[in-house]
Amino acid sequence: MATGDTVLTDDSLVHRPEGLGIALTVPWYRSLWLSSVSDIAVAVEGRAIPTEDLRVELGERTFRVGELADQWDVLWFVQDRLLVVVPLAGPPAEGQQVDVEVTVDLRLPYMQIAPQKYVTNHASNRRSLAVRAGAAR
Amino acid sequence: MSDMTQLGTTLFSLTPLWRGGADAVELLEQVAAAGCGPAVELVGHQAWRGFPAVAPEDERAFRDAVERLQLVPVALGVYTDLFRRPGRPMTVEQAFDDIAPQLAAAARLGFPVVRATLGMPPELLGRVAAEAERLGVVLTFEVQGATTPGTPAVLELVELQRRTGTPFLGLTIDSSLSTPALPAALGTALRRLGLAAPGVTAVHEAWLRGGPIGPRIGAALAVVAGHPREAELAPLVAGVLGRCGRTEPEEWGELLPLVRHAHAKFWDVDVEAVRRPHGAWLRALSAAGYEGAVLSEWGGHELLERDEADALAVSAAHVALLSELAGARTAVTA
Repeated sequence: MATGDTVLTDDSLVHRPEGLGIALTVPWYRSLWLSSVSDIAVAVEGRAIPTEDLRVELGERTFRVGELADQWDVLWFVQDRLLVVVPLAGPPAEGQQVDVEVTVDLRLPYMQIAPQKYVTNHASNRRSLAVRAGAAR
Repeated sequence: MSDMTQLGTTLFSLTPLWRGGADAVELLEQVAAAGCGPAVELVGHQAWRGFPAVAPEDERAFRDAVERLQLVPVALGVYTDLFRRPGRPMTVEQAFDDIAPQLAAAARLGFPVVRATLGMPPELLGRVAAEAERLGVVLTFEVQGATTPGTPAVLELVELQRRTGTPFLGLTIDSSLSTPALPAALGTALRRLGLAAPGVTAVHEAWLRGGPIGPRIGAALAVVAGHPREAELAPLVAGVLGRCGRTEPEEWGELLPLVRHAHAKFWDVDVEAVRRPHGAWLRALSAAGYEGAVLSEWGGHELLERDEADALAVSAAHVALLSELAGARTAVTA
């Protein structure tokens, strides 16, 4: 997929006391296992956030990006959002416009093209969005 | 194509609406209202959270909706995610345990056919085919894009079917096997990602070359190599070129008796772009005595922004074209 709403949608930014929540959509047409997410990269106002500082929430569960590869039995439903929590010294206020860029690398678990090599989708969106109150949908 | 053949739509075409939060019943209602039925195909991992577990109330709601709307569930998309664990493919046992409940879900939901991705290892294929037969569901594997009649996975499937003689194993044939030109929507997406006009032309020239698809994709990837957005351009180029095949229906003649399900694939908003190849496939299927459904499948949502195309409107226009083509054929042969 290569469209503007592949990763981010109008309502993606969520206020979080520790910084910013970014609600991501699956960059594919169907649900996939969390182990399919091989990397997530985030930049806020043009500043890259170290991957180890990110936390990823799906429902009640929280993971580090590096732990996602082990989540081979956790399904990311195509209508659910993966909430990436970004720690920021000064959390943006509700309604504030924030420039975010998110890139998700997705390994398609049913398309191996060579040993250890899979068809992948590299999906990236950069948008300036208003921060909403509360939890993401 | 006999008078029994049904036209319809795979709800994969409505991916933007699924991603936007619509549920199966809402989308069935929209499909029926837009005249995109009566035949419908769904993708299990798109339509139900937790699939292949489908809650009894969701199962009932689906069955009630298709009956009320006079739609006909013809095929369910299922998957063998053999590489869920990075670097460690599932064993045959694990993969069987993964897909068997998907076949059972298809049977419970009223789908007579499932569509799987080509390339199941032979031992697994044998077990899954036997399970499909036990459940009374036809297991099909999709042949599309640059797949050829000589592709090893196709040959393995045909060999198993001929050896067992089972009517519960077959092909989903996809008209993308015969693509006269790359979709205009690909150019739109490439330009949006910043590929300049000469680059877009060079990607088209790479696809137009002769020879097998691998080197042609390689030539197209060389065009985007070094571009600042190569990481996005490369899978887009490889993905679309690999799904735009150049075999003609006649080349598939020997295998057409194994077709149990069919897709009429298109990408562009202007459905006239596929009039000739889709007409050719309808005629070829008819000549082979095919009596299954032919479903419109729109892939343009991968390439076009939401304000550039309305998934339901393009699907309705395409189903109308298929209907015209099928009707024209009936009139000629009547």
